[in-house]
Amino acid sequence: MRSLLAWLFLAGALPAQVQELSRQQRDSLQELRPKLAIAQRGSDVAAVRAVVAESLRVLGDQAGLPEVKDTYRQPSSSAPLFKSDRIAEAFGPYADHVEKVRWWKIGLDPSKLNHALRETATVARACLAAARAEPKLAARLLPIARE
Amino acid sequence: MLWAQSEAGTGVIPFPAVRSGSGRSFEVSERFLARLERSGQLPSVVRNGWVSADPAEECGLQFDNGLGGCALLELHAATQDRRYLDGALKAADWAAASPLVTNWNYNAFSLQLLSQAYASTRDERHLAAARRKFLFGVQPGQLVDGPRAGRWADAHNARPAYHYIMVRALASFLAVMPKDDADRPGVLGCLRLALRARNPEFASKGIMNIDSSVEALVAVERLPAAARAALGPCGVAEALDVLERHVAHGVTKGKSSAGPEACALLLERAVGRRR
Repeated sequence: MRSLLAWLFLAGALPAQVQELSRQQRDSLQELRPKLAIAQRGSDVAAVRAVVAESLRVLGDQAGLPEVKDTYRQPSSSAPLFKSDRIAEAFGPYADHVEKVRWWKIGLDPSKLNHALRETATVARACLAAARAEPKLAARLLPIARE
Repeated sequence: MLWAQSEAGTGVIPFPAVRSGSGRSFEVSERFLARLERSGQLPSVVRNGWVSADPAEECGLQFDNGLGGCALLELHAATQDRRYLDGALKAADWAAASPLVTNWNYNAFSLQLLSQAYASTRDERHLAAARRKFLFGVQPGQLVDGPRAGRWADAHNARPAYHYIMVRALASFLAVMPKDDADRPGVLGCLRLALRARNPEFASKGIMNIDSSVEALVAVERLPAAARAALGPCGVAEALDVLERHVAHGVTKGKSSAGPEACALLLERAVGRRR
């Protein structure tokens, strides 16, 4: 019983981790949204700030809390940093994977595509960065980046 | 990307008009397409199977358009192939014309593309459009005081992944701003607050996001020395060290913990230490 009470006390004292709003707060924010959109299309930044200030009043102490609780992975604090003479070895598995999954073909049917072009963008940027880091990778990675 | 952009025909780097796709982006897209279907606008929006316009002005298309356009600019820098620059500039023009929206991170994707387009072209139209995205579409959403100063106030953009999308866009804008620009102090202040809000958590609490934060923090680390000095201490190198050790450890163990872009950027960082 004592430990349960202690837990309840501590839980109550913990800072909130997720934004929790009442129905009234959510409705008020919903009403402010079109006002913000209209202000953003004007030429007066102060008008935008005024709507934001109103929404901050509605949010109160919930402002800045995320919709989903932050989860933290334990860092590998004693692990070494990347070694600059092992670039090809480190990126090798990524290059193998990218070569294997290449779905981006000219003429594909977008209505059956369960991928977004943000994926091709990140692959292109990855190949370019890896090729800059290790020029020996350029012959393999630049053609993929250009696809 | 260039082929899809050409198929969509409006300059945007489009999103596939898939119904019932899986994953968060396809769930958002499905809601958008269903609304258009109900309003009878779907046929005018989907072209050759791609979502090519946004009559509802929700502007989720800014996400792929921004990232795709930035990739095309990098491809042009690496190859000098003019087709990539032309594609990137079409995407930038689409972003400039795209209305500002209440979801701050969508505007940030266009801010990043327009900033990087300005770096390539020095076309003042791109700088002006980037400035408007910043002043009306990114900066106002940030908390400037209180215990969570530096975060964006709304619950969606308070999430770490979106926080660092904002940081990356701000770094891109700061990198290209003229030194005497009247808005430079505002950009510096916004970026400084954002970095100080979240960066210390990497050492004190752990890793809450990898890909978005690596991409953003590497962009900050690559800022010109004067800009970094003006920012002051923001825990960038410390946070990146935590992330790099974590990703390097995963690679050693054969368990990739980061996407290919974040890993490649950290490898470039390792090479930079040698120089």
